[in-house]
Amino acid sequence: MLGKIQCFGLTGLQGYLVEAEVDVNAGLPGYEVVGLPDTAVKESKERVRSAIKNSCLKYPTVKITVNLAPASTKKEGASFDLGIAVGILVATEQVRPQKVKEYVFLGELSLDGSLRPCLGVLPTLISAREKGFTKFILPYQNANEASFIEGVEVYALKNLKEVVEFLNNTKTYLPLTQKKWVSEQGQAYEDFARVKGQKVAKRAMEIAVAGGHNILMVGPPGSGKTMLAKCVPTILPDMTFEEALEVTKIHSVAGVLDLQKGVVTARPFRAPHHTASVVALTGGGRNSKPGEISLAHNGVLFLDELPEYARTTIETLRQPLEDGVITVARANQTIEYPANFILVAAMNPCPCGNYHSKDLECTCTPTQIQKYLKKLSGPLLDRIDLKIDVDRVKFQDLNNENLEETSAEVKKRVDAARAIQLARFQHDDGIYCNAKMSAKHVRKYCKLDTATQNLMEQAFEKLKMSARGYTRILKVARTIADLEGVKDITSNHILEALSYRNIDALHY
Amino acid sequence: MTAEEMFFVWLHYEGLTRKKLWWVMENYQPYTSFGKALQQNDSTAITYLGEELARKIQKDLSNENILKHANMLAKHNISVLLASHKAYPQELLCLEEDAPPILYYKGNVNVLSSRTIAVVGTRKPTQYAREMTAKFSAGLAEKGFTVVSGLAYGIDTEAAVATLGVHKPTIAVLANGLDTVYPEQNTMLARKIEENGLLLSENPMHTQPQPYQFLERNRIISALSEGVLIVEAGEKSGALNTAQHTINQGKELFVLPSLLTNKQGRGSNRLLTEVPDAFTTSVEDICARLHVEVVSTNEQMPMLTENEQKVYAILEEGETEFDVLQERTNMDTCELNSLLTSMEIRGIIRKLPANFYSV
Repeated sequence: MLGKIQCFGLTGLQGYLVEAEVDVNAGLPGYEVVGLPDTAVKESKERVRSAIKNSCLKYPTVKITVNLAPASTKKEGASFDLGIAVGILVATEQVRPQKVKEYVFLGELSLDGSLRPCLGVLPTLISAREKGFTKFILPYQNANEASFIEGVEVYALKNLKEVVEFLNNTKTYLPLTQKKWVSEQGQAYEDFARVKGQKVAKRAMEIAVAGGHNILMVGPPGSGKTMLAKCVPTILPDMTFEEALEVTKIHSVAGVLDLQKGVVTARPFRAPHHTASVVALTGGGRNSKPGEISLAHNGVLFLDELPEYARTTIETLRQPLEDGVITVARANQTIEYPANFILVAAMNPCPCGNYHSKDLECTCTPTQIQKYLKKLSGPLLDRIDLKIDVDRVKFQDLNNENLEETSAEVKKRVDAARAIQLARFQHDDGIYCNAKMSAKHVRKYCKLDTATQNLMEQAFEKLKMSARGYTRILKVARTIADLEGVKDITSNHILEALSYRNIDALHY
Repeated sequence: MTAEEMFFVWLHYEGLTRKKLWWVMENYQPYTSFGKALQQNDSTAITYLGEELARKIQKDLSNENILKHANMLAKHNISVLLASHKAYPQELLCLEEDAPPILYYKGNVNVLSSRTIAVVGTRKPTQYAREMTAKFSAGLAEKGFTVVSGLAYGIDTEAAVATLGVHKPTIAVLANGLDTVYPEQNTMLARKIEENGLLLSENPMHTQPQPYQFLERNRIISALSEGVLIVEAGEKSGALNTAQHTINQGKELFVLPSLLTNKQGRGSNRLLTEVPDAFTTSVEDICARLHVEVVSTNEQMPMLTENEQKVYAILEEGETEFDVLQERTNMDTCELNSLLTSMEIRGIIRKLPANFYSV
């Protein structure tokens, strides 16, 4: 008899139907998998055999042929184990085939027959639902992840034995109940209240987060750049459920999802070290896994010591910073991952860090400083809206007992500003914050009155701005106006926007 | 290029030092007699040049080689001035045996006859020094001076940029051969100087700059100029060497004072204690001491609001940090930021690195 089981495979974030056909024939006992399986799929042989035996079921001593259709697509990972095992059981008539046809099977098998969690359950389920599949059998560890999806009937089971009982109707199991999604605050590494002084930097950070602008902090070592960056998660606006699903899909595929929670509840904050390779940052590799920038989707990517990253690595950020997606092309597949993040970067003004310092001598030669700054290309700096100087903290500030504003207070303003933006862009597809406005939107939403226009002209001349710099200022001014809750951009907003620029990295 | 120029340029390229070139120029009239003397194994010439060098020149001496080298110069658009040429700057002859026997140049040689002033200083200036350089260079250029500098990083570059910025010619004296530009980053600047002024060097083509050559070059900068302005110089700055040459040559030295806390300004401040007469604070003062008429202009202060006046008063006391300004004015971060930018755009104050502001 032939067993036909529905499974699902993933390329990138897109799932595709895989039919596991199992045929048992008289002949020398053996096990053959066809349909471009990778090593993990081939090794399913041993897992499936032991799992079946250890679940008090019969493993047939005949020739078993498993075909994973479509035969031309590469199959990766161990999530087909359950499907193959059920297929063998159907083929050997240990499981009744009637119910099997309705379900999609996902799960890795352990030798004792229990089910292990598999990667990418959320994107798989969503793709499957789009294709009209609504009933699933999954490992129970993936239950949390699966219970956030509407319109599906999911049974999360512990082991092969339970699956057989369920399929043979010898025992009833209840489908998962749908959970309600609640947004949470990011892990609080630091709080704004603990950052003393640094008024300009804090304000710039608030603007950056409110409008989704990229920000670069320039300052000597020990000036608190990293601390400021670590405060960012505490003021990030809440995620919507759609945003959370997008993030969860990526995290699920990458295998970094917290299975206890099952879904990402807070905006991600990713801080890869500066030795990160291009592939680690953008994604790719043998399995075309998402990289750090995709993991930071809808959240923050923090790059400390920006010029220390390999130049090629930083330059790869240019496309995602512009388009919000990264296209990973490899020999056998091209995958697009979303990568819409706020870039928060920090750097020293020179290799030794003391350039421009009032009390410490800089030991770098002009060539060294030039070389250091040249590591950041013009096009990259062009995509960073706010560039600020962060100065060393003074002793009196450290001992200052004055109460500083807490992150919660800042977050309130950020949330309000985001709400205004969401309302503004509700009819503009794919835009949800000021930083993502195109030239067309800037013209529409950043109108200036004559006096402000004149001021802009004056500034354009005096500060030697470029056309790109001009648009950037308008976008930042829009965010500042939103933070204030006013409709029109005034000259004060423009002036403040203009003040967030760095003398050295000045590329207006 | 005349045959004589070609011959000496080739000799220079073959490796004759300044001293030996002068000796040949003075003792062999016309110059062709030197070639003949060499071919006849003239013992005085061979002893003076040194056996090895003399044999090398004897071997290489041919019209073909001389022409080949001249063509190479022409290809790079480099022209030459021999000391005997009437366009050769007479001021350089005061250097006596240290005067360059051959000057290589690119650009307009006529600017040598204008009034000149050197603006030099550290390669790593403070923001303040950069702005002073720009202000003084542009000011002096508009009073009719051609600004001379060395195309080094920092003050030299700022001076050249500022002078070209007001559409006046400038002279850059290089230590390397004119076929290359050092530092490389100034290649575009050198091209602009060539178009609107003059690039000078005493060294033949293919000379890689050696540290001592930068110091030697300094004597030409000061000799070419009527006065030398040192904007900012660290304790070991090459500008101090230029200052020494200036004093030795009896030229006017001008030094701008620096903050005592500024390490890059220690050299120039020390210079001021040694040569108090060099102290200067304005373009007008320099012009007066170099006997140039000055028409005084009155700059009017723009109207300021109450808060702006407060900020201005604080900044008049010296460079001030944003946090301090905020503490003293009691203004909002965003409010103060807009106010400062507004004043900056109107040219009343300046933004400095690390969130400092000054008038």
